[in-house]
Amino acid sequence: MSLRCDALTVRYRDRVAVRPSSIALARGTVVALVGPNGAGKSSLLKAIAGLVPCTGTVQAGEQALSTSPRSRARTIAYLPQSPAAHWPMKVRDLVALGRLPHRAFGSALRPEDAAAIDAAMRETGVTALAERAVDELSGGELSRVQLARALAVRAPILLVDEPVAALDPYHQLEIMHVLTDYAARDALVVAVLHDLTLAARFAHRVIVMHEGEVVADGRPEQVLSAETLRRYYHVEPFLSHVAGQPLVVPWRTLQ
Amino acid sequence: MSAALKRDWPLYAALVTALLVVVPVALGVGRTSGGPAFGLGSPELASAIFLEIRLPRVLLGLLVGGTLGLCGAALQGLLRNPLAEPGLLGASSGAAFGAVLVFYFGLAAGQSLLLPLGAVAGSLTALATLYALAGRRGDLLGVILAGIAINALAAALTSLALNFAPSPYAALEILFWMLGSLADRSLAHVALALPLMLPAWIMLGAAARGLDALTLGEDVAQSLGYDPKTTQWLVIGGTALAIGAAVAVTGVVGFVGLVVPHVLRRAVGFHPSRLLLPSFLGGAVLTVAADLVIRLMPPGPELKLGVVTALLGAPFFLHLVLRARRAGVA
Repeated sequence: MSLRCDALTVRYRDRVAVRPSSIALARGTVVALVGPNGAGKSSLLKAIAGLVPCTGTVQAGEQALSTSPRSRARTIAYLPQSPAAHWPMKVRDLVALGRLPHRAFGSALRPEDAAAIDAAMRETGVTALAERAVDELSGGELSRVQLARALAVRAPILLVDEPVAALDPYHQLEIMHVLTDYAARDALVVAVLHDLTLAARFAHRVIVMHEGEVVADGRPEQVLSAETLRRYYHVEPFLSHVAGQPLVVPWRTLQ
Repeated sequence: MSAALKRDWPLYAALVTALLVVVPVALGVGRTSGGPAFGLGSPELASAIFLEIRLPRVLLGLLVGGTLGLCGAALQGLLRNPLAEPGLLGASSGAAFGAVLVFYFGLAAGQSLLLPLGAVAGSLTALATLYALAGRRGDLLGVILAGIAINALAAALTSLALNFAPSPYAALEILFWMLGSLADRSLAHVALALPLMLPAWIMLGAAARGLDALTLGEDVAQSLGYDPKTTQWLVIGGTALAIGAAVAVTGVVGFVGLVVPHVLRRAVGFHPSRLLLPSFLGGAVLTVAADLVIRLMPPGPELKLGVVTALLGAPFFLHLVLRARRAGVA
């Protein structure tokens, strides 16, 4: 599903976290949201998900977002930066919480719920952990389980905040493939990423934020230029191409 | 609910069996100044003893015990904290203070509705304060510390009221009522508590899915369509209403709401929603059983229920705190 934000603005008590931003994102794509710490990436994601008070409009597909929390929850799935798991449930039970927006009060899991849970666990490679308690998992396993929970919503728009931060290189690549596969089914994936190499390699589009503002937006090889990295990240990058794909390696800091 | 019944049927079977054993026994045992009394006594007194003494006592035990278990489970789910309990968080002492105020101003003549209303107002104030102080982050230590502060304040205010009590007898009466007991209650007490408890139970039941969603934190709960604020007010409002009603008719009975959800949590796979109804049943069983044990004690002054639950529950709480410390969470 496509997503359109007009003049979306987030103000916290004494500062503007996201300055009026208007962006239109196409379905079937992975969009990387990058920028230095404190640039407003997470705030923008939360505003789209309806988790922080904001002004401006968010439009999903052809219409404005529904005001019904359940319908909104079925349209937009959200995975925060460090998701909580307050009770040591079994992995499959935790993933099943992603089906809450689809279930009537007091109803059992229907076959389509079970299918969505199984598929989400398969895609993130946590099927073998199904019966383990979540407090026995390694950090990497837990973050894949949490991603499975978000995938299980089967929402046409998926917002993920640093989904690969706790993962080893193998699972970083795996998860980026999971996100591109998810987007390929006509969904929109917006991912906050710090790893610019992954962003350049996997995202169809990169949006750079700096001090609450969208300062660059476009195809990875256009946006992730030496100029952008110097200006907003204060790093000198090493830029190259491998097998026709851009390679971005932050090399040294600039004063 | 049918889904939960299907999934957790062995647990429900065990709890219902326990109820079916405990309730008839509790109805069959009374207490006189000479210690426990078995059966219903002489035939001409049997119906009076049954209807006016035994039945109210057991019914109130079921209602109050169930309420305590349910509220404990709901509060633990809301605060995402296994140490939460109406007594420890100040809801009960707040309710007791509210009720004492009504006593103190001499408003509680007969079966006045003012007494439970005072208790409800007291526990609502205590819980709302607690949540404002420490509830948002699901932080274990903060909640317990805020609970201690609120308990201390409610106890101080109650002491103040006792200090100014019109007569030593009034003070003693209030003091004994606060210890918590099911003895010498009538069906009128049931009629007083039930209309407040029923809507409270419904509110807590309506929060069930929201509590499950809160397992993943407030942001994710909201993104799943369950506004944490709605869940918060359902649980706080429902608990205040139910605990207020319970304290108004039985005084303070502590720790049932701590022990019961804790014992049953693993059996329901740590699902806050699936814990609610079993905690109600478990609380009812435990309370009626504890009250039965009191009646079976050798001759002497009858033990107060609240004293017994505190004697058993406090070491249990200590054990949980020590274990939480070993796990590095507090």
